Amino acid sequence: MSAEHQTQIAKADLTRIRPYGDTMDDGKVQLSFSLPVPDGPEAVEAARQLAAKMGLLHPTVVHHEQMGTEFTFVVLYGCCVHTVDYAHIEVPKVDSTRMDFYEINQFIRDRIGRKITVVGACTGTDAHTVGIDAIMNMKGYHGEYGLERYPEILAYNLGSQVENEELVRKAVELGADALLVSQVVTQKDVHIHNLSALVDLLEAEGLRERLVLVAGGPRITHELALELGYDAGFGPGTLAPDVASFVVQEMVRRNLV
Amino acid sequence: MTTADAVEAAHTVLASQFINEQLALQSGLPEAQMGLGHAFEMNPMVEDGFLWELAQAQMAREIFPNAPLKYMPPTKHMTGNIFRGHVQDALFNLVGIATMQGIQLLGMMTEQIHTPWLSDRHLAIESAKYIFNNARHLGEEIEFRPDGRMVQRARTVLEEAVRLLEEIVQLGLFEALARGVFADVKRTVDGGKGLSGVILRHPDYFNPFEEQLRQQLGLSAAKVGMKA
Repeated sequence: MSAEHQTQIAKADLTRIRPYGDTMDDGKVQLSFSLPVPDGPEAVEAARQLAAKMGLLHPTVVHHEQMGTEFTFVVLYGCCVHTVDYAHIEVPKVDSTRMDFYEINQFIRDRIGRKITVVGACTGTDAHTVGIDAIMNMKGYHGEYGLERYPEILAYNLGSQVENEELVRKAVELGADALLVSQVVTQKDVHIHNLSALVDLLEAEGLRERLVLVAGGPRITHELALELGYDAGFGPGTLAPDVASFVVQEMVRRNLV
Repeated sequence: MTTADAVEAAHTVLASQFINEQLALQSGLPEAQMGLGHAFEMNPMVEDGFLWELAQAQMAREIFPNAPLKYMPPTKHMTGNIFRGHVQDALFNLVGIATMQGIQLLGMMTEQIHTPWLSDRHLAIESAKYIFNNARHLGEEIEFRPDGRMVQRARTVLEEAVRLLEEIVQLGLFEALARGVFADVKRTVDGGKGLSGVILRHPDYFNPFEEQLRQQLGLSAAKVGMKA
């Protein structure tokens, strides 16, 4: 590619970004949805009008088909007229330094001076242990050992469908320094209710201040976790060292050693 | 099999199918009603993973020829990338029709995101109909190389399953469960849920339907005064 050609590639204006299809600032988006009306020209027009109200210019219905007798499925393209200021976005992030397996164990020996106890569970009716297992199981996930493998961490994975009361009882019994709560199912915001109920319970028992409380799951963000009264939240792609780094640094920061 | 690695733990799935088959036989269930379960749960990034899935499903088909196998879609390795998810579900459907699984549970492209919407279900049915029709008789046309990778894989899985079952005979089923032999899920003798639903039968307990059923199925009489 010649230097001259390179200069012709448009640069994004980071204070005004919009979706990119194949040309800078074309604003192209795709969406699909269902309408509770039978398929037909009126359904297509309804979809177009809705898209226009969503801020899409030139909405084009590229596919529509009837589902059952009273619904229409629509695939639609349009150009988003809105922009956002990417340059000034601030997202709360877990601000601990990420350490590796060896550094974390050394940190515990040097700064805490005893083994720490971490109790994890998938709470409520949630039976999906994929997340908590990825963080805790001995053999770990994606090339990173789980917490059970850490010599300086006593890790207890209580598994799935653990009631908040049971988790708190276990936490007391085991003398937990940190609780890891995994929530995968998000149907009707059940994860939000579950996560808040645990915070309420810990506060009522006077335990909240003595614990590092962490939430995780595919729909969990750090921001959401903070809102719900947790110390940190971890989303998809999190590995054991991410969580362990936070837990040990938070313990030292709050003098829970 | 959503917890353990589906490639490494394939033999535990087969072993549990053998155990379930025996439990079903002892309950008087005819083979035609045995929905022995297994799943398309291998990591999609594994090289030749599709071959191992196909080998596993074909093996189950051949070992339990009269059971309507219950074949379950990918869930563990669904990521939120609905486009890739739809492709994974399509491969799952292809294995299902090629190996003539009896009960195909349909995968949802939005697995791991939300409880399926109407349109998710619609697209899943559309995909299954397309593939089931488009590859209708594929299973009847395929022969597997006797010395090939897939037959070899199935043989290994079967051998490992037999070895595991022999171990369980020594250990006892409850101890095996407590050790997490299946899917790394550990269920201790005094742990788990559901004990409150298990009741002691009264010495005078009488259920005419059960007696009739037991007679019809040629099963021995129920014991009373013990946990059912």
